[in-house]
Amino acid sequence: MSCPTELTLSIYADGELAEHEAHGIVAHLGTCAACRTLFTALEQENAVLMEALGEEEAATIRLPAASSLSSASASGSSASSWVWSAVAAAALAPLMLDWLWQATPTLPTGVGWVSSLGGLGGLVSISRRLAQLFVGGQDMLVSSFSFVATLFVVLGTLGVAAVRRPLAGATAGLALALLAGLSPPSQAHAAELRYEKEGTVKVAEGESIDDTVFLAGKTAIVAGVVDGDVFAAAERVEVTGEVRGNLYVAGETVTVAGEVSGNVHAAGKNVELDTKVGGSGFLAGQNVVVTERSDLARGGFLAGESVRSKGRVGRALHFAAEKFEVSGSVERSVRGYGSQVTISSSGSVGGDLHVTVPSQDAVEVDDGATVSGETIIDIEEKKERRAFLYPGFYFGLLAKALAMLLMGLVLITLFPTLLPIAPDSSKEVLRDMGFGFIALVATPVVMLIIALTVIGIPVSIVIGMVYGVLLFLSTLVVAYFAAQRLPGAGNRRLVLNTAASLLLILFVVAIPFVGPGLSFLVHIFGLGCLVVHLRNLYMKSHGSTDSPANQLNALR
Amino acid sequence: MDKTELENVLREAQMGSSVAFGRVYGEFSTRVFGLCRKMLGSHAAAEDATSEVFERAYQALDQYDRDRPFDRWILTIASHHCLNRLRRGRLEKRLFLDEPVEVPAVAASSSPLVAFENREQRRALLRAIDALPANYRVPLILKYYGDLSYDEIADHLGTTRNNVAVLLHRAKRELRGRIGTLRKEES
Repeated sequence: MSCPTELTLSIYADGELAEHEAHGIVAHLGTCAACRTLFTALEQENAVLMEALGEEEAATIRLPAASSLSSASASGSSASSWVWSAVAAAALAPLMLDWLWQATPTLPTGVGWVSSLGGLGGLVSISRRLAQLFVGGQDMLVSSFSFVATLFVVLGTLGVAAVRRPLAGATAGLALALLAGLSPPSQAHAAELRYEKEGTVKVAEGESIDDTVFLAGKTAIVAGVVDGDVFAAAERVEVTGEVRGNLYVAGETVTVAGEVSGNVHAAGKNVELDTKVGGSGFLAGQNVVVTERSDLARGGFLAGESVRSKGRVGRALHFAAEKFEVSGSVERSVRGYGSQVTISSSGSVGGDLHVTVPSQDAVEVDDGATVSGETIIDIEEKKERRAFLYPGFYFGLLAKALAMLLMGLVLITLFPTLLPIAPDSSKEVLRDMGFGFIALVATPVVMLIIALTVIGIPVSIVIGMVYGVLLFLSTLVVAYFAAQRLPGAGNRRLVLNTAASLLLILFVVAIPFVGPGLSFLVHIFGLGCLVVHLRNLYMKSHGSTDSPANQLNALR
Repeated sequence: MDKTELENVLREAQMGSSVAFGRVYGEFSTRVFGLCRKMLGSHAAAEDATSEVFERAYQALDQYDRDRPFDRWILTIASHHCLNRLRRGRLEKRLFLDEPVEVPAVAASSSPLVAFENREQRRALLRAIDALPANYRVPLILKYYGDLSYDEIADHLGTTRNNVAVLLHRAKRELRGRIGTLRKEES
């Protein structure tokens, strides 16, 4: 037999030659050395192609800065990744602040205490105030917490989705699981998910969905009928159709004009409610408006910079706002915190009017307005606090830094594996921050839910302690990472450098205005690193499990 | 995800569970993205294509036959989609017509493709693949990245099995020539 052509051999190397022809080739290769060499080369070529093409995955996903500098010196590339992280953090910070209702400078008196407390303190006191505010009963408490958690998880998810898609898959899964767990028990069937990164998602007019609906995109519109709960997160959210369950929405502009049979939970920069609501309304945003046509059958909880209630509120109305105005009717009492409270001439309050304000003249009840019960005005004194002027502040700082450092040293002496590894790319930094964010927000909710079962109280306390320790150490972790980046950091000087950066961080987060935001970032980053590290340790000790997150890591 | 788990997730997804479909996305998005990236040659276009592919897959999920491997199925959708995109962009028609190309003849037996020791060289190879004309690049990627058979590729490109063999053969020859020239320049 004469030698086969190179083409034929190539086909054979690809495993695509018909069987009868292949037999001939096999026989020929056994005898012809030249063809054998050629065939081996072709096979090797295929292997190289497969390998190289398969390998590119890792290369394409890496961020440009990291890969283009990989040939530069190690310190150069790690420095660049830190620049990236700083840029990312800087980009994230205003977003976070915006979402905390433009936190410090224009913070409503009702939530003004946030500025004087750092991340953890803020969180604790938010929960405390919420508990105070929502005295309506356990149900309300739970649903408000789940609302807050839901919002944060949805927002976190969207944030992460923008960074990286596969990760978004995992986070979205986690978020959905959380949402499913938290949403009031509707019929347990599969949910409808609509997601469009840049476009519009909608439940069209005339469309009717007998299911829970999740919408995420740039614009989300509900014009049809949904016989279940609706979760929507988008830059602009419009609800004009009918929602027979609860409505959970977050967005820059939120408009609810369609009838909602359950509760409405909405947060955004501008929130407008213009409809009948069968349940309660939980609305939060920079501008919150409840229009004349609205009816909140089971009461309202409103928070924001400027809050106006023009419609009817079937039960009590609670608020926390910079400017608060009632021009509609409230069947029962009005209770809240604000720096300017107005009951205009068309307004009426069926029960007591009980407000906490900075001064007596901040409350204005116009002629013609009716308050059937008592009017109680609590004056909240503004305390001027300039911590920087007192030496006690610096001692406190030192003591806190020492305590953290000692605790950290003791822990890593006892358990050396606990020392986390610094993330080496901006992608990892963002991922850690995402995890930290979820852990920060979700843990108190989980604790609360477990505690409500009474039997679960000890478990809840243990979780709380671990959470507290991790949060406490999160600052130290960040300081430790920072110390590693300091020039000339030898192992011996690492502790000293850590102490120095720790002091610096503690000092910076105590600065008014900027501090709380930075503190928040430091906490979520540190917490995220710890959580990820602990998870990795757990994975290592238990072999690999099949969690989706793990899968994703493997894919990377 | 192991095989049985994947099967379960797919079944759930077919029954309409979006959570399950989310997991499917998590599992396969990297590969789909990889294919799109290589076929389209741009990161941004590949991102768009990936989400469109999954959207299409979501809609067509009930047509998926569970006896077939799922990765084949979704990669087929992906390559169809990318081809459509490529066709839409001017390359139209000309794309897969046979046209003779002059390449310096390099015998496969002394192929420069085989000697790839380090990353840098692999990267050069990838760049060379990216630079290939689409009529060579696409079958090459479908075969060695997408792991599709000649028949499947032929089906996609609207050509015959034999032509696929020829295209692949020529693509590799072209690649050899380009890499060989590159090497010479280096040394």
